[in-house]
Amino acid sequence: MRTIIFIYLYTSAAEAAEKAGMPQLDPSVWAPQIFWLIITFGFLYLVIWKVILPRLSDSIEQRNDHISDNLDEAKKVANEAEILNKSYEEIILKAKNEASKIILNNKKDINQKLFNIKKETEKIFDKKLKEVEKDINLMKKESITDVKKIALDLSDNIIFEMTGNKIDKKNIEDTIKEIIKNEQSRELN
Amino acid sequence: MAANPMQQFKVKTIGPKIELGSFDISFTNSSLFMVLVVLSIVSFFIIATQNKSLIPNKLQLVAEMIYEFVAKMINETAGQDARPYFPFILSLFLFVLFSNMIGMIPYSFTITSHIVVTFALAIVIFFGVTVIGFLKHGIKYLELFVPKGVPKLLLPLIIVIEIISYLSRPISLSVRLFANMMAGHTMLKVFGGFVVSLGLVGGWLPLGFSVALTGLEILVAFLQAYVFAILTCIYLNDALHLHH
Repeated sequence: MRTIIFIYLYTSAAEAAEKAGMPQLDPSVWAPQIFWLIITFGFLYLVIWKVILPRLSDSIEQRNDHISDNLDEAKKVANEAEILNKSYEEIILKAKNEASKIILNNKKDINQKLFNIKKETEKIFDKKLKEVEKDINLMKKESITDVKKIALDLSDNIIFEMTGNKIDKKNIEDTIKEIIKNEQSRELN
Repeated sequence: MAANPMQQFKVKTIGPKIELGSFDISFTNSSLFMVLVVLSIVSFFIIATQNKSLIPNKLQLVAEMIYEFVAKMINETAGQDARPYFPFILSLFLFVLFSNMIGMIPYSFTITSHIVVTFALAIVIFFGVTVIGFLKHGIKYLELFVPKGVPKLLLPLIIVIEIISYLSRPISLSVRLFANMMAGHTMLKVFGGFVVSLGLVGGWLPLGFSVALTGLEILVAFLQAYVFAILTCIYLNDALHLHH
């Protein structure tokens, strides 16, 4: 029974194929195609699996390895460069700090020295000033006694010329002293 | 030359008739082109990978591009777990691609324009994927037919639809490829016939069409190989990772 149905299906399919003109639907060509498909595709699969893929992935992996190796090396070198750069910057920073320290110290020293010199000169000036003042005072005193003497002599001479008499010197001296006193007190006022 | 445009799909026996039991396994023009396809793939890749160098030559570059194209396709659709099936999918893609492309040569035979060939490939994929699914997930693989987040009331209907769609996978997969190849070649043949029958006077228009169609068919040849391979990857993904 089953075979009859099968044969019926088979022949009807073949008839349909013949009518539609599609050789694909002719069941007589199915078996050889499937058989050869299995053989050829199986062969292709085996060759690709066992021969072609290992060869392809080999070269690709080798290249990837090479590239990643190079990248690693580049990274390493870049790291080293960065470390060097850091140390260089550190050195520069240190030098800058030192330089500013030195500048600061020198400034302090110079300021100190200047201050000292100023003080000393001021001291010398003061000393000189005092000496000069002393001199002036001395000279003032001397001049006063000189003025006294000159005044005494002059008045003595004048009186002698005018009267022909000699007046007691002591008297004249007292008068002159009084005049000078008066003058000095006026100056003070 | 009013040849039947279907004549090109005729399978003719070459050499003696061979029988294995009750099966006819004669060598035909179809078998000849299968052998040609396989030989051209194998020889291309063998030559391309002959002198493997760090900086690839043109052939090696093409071979590696194909390799990476398929590897990327598998990785993106089926993930890392699909790695063991890479040789099969690469063979499948190359076999279909080369069959389609060699079929574009005038007077040649297109293996993939035969439903029995595409269906045989599709049914192998179907059973393979189903077996992988059951091996990996056991009886839980049946959960594939029960989508998550579906109302309980609709579940029986959805399950039936899911089962039908699952079972129709090999049919849709094989018919898509076979129909595309057959339709394209038939069109080419019809327009080619017009060129001859209209002669020097009116044959130029269909000739132009033929040229344009040839370009289109080369695109389709590649596209269908790609679709065939990527659908296989998607089915594989379903089997490897339940509930995507």
